[in-house]
Amino acid sequence: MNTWASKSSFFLVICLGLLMGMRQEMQENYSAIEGLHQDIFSVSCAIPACHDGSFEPDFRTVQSSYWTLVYHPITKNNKAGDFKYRVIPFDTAQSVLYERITNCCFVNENDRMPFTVGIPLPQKHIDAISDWIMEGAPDPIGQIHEIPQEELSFQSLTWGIPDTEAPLNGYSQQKDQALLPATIIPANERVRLNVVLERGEETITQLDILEFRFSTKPKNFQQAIAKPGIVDSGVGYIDIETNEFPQHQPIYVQVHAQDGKEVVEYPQKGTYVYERTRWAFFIE
Amino acid sequence: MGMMGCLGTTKVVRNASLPKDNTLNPLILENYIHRVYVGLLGRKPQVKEVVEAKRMLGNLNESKRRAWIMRVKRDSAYFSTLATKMRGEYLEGVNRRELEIMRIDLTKLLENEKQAIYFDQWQYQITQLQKLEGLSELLHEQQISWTDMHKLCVDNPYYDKLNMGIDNFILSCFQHFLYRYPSDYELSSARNMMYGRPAILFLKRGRNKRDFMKIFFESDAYLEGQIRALYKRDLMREPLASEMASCFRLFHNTGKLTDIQLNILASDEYLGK
Repeated sequence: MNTWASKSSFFLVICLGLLMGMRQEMQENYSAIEGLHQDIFSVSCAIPACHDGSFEPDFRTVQSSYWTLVYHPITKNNKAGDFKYRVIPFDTAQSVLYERITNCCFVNENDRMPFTVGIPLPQKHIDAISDWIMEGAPDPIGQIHEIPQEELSFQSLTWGIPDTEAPLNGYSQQKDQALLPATIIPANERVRLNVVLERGEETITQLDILEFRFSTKPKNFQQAIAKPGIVDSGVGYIDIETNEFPQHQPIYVQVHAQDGKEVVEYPQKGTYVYERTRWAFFIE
Repeated sequence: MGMMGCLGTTKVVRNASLPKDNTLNPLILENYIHRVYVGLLGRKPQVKEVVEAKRMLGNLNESKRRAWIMRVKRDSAYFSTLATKMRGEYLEGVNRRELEIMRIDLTKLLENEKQAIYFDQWQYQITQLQKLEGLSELLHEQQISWTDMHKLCVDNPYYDKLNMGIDNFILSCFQHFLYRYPSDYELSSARNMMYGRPAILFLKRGRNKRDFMKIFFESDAYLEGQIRALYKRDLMREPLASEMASCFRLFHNTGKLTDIQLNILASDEYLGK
């Protein structure tokens, strides 16, 4: 009997040990994105016509969940506009994911997620999401990501009449050749070239160098005529006399900017040819 | 006395269990051989190939299965089948002749000096079409990896013709390899990048199509898509979280998607054991 009892208790200890080990393993997995996806996102969020690809974030797979959450800009903000990203590593207060599962009234009454009115996620699930964010929101291989710094970019080259709001209407047309969608501008006229300067959501008010380069060759600006531009609240511009440039051939424009150590040019290596020809003009 | 000798003495062995039976239903074995042949070479095996396979597979342990699959994959039909599958999957089954015609048309454009501005772009497209025509040879000579093969399938004028415009190109890349639509932000970032402007995709910076391709095909999202595709095609199910994790580990160690495919084809589950 004694032998039987000792054998039973030994067996019980082994079983308990195994169970504890399994529990620990489950808990470890739980705080990783795979665990969250398996137990929370795929079950409570990726339901038909919700976050199954119909609405962002896409919770269908681990990777789709990760990339549409971490440092992913939001599509809906609260009235105060407090949030920028769905998940910011190490910061639940600024992560809209955490806000949406904990706040009853993000924009409207009872709009807490999951969208089953009045039934929030179990507290242990909320805690698991919170733990993952506070641990840096690591990806499935345990890597913690940072968002790269936004680069300066130039958008949309437009033409206008200097010192007026008027665009160069009637001239912003394409020349009738598939080859050259360059803007036609009149000879012997003073016109203004504008480019929008952006760095993410930042408005650029100052740059160390802003230069407009003009070349007859689409990809070679080494021999180009370079003229300094002016920066004014998010727009870089230059006024040019069109008679300074050769007529009846395309003149390609490149914008060069320097701000601290950051040097940016556009169009640049790898820019499509038709995009280069959009950044060109043709003097009648 | 003779009868007594036949009966012998009965021995009772307590707590005995039968030895592990490694034998396999011959039908399962034949099915396995057939499925591997059809999957990899696009045809059923010949009788002599079945006999040879049975001899090689022996008691069907996993290492023998691996060795046999590697041998099947050395057949030149494997490379041509794979190339045909790729063209079927991503390029609506375009054949070599159609690609050749497109390449010849592009080559003719190079004669017009007035369009010299486009020559670099067309020359690149011609090279891509040439590679696509000779994809099975490139695979055979191991000059192209699995990922590069996918890159080639989307970075060519035929894919552009099917998915006209930058937005459609991005959407089709996401759908073909990630099995989902891009989010609005991903689409807008990828679009900016394709136009040659600085943008962030999968938390990496890029500023042209080449960067987009590099970021996209080096992303874990692409790897996940490939693992899911292999599981769905060969095992007809999604991988479990633990399987996905072990495939990721394997890929990060070897850098080869074909190793994941080999694991699947050599598994007990694929065998049907």
